Amino acid sequence: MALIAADASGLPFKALDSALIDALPVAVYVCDRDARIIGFNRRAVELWGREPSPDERFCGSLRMLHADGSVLPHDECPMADVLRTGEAVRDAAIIVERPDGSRLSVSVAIVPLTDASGQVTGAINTFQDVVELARADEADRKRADAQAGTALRESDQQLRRATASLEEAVRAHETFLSTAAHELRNPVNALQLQLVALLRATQQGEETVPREWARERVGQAVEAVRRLVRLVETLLDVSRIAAGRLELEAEPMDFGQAVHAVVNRFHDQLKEHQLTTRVAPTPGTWDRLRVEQVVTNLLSNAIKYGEGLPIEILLEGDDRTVCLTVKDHGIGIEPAHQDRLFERFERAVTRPQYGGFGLGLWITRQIVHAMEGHIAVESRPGEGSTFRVTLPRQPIRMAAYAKEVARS
Amino acid sequence: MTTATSVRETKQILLVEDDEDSRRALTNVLEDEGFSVAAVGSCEAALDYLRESPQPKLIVLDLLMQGMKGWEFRDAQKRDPALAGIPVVSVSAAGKLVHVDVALQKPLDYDELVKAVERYVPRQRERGSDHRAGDRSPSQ
Repeated sequence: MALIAADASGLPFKALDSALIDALPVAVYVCDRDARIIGFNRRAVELWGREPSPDERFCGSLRMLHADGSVLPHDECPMADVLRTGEAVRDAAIIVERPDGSRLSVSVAIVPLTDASGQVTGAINTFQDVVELARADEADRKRADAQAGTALRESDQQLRRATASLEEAVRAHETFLSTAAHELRNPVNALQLQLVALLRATQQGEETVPREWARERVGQAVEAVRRLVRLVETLLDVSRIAAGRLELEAEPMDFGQAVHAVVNRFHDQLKEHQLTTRVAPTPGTWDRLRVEQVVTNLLSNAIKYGEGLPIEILLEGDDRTVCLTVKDHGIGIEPAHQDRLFERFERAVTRPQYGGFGLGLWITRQIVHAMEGHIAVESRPGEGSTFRVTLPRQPIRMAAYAKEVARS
Repeated sequence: MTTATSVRETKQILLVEDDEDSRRALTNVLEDEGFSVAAVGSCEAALDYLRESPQPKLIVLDLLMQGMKGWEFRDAQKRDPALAGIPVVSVSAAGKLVHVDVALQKPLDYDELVKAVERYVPRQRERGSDHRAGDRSPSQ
């Protein structure tokens, strides 16, 4: 058992025999009240595929994912929940990713540790990968068959839960595919009709094609192609995220410059809005394209739902974090919709002019989480919405991940 | 786009399509082919149009729209004796599921669309003639 700073923790854990803990066939680790990992056994290192460094918090794996493949930020993982609430967790299903890219579905059980007054002083996490769980169940079952059949029922329940979540995932994919097909059909339809009209016009040999007439149709065809490209990019992002392959390329950059670059790209659409920007130079280490994508998604939403009213962009920061605020004064979002806003296919309003997959904010949140940040919204119907993204200037795991990937 | 409130002149075709790109493309094609078109972006706007404006000879209807769906529009249309007789060409993959006069699918075939419309609407102009000429800039 590797014990880090156990003496400082004041936890009863140090009394346990470390050789015994290391011999356990399940992975065990302990966090103190600040979520720092203060001890772990050999099996945990095997499942994580690495040893956590002394400052690491919540979990020793490089990345965690929800069962649907989307990124699970470390500070939202079951360990974080237990430390916050003081309530034990059983049978939580998550995916851990090792530095070599391999993944394990693990089942997690966490017990809080409390002092005499009931204050949470830490938590013990035991986890097993589910393949091994199944193996253990088989042995259990033989014993259990002879006794009460408890294990069988439990594994039955596990199987049923797994089946239910798989079925749900399949349904979500089917919905997504039909949404995608419908959304793609419209620009393809427009493109085809405009191009055939142009072709017909050139085939009627006796007259020249009027310039304005042709320009309008070519312009609309180009617009349809642009829309197709945007939709296809979105589809690719969704499949990257679902496969856990949202790759980030960290480089030193100025966040402020990225904001200005995006604002310039929206020059035409911003003509009818009054745009205020307060953007200071903010150097840090991020993925430039993904940062621009976050700004683009938030700004295009502000334009889309901003009803032509003023839009404000604010970028501020301290030495550790940067905070981007995009505020509009448009239609706003009902409180009931605000929580679901960052889910897949959620769009608070259904109005014909608001086309797209309804995936923009989901993708934005996935990117922000991958960069170890947070996104939040404040909004009132009829008064507009404020989206706030907070990112660390030097995301630790992003840099560590890049390093470990390069090494492997 | 022609809106329900601004139109009082008789248009031959009422186009109901919520997707802007498709609506513009369909309007262009139908006008190039010599038909007059009023285009609206929702079924609600279509019902308003039909109540306030001279009746079109044909409705070209997308079915999968935000808000009121094409088939709900079709129900409302059939319940209103004044509107029930207007033929409908649907332009949507779901067309086979709803009773319409002609069901087409997106992406639309140019000739199939024109052929379907021709069955119900006589051309106001020669195909493509004065419409494109009207766009000619003065320098030409």
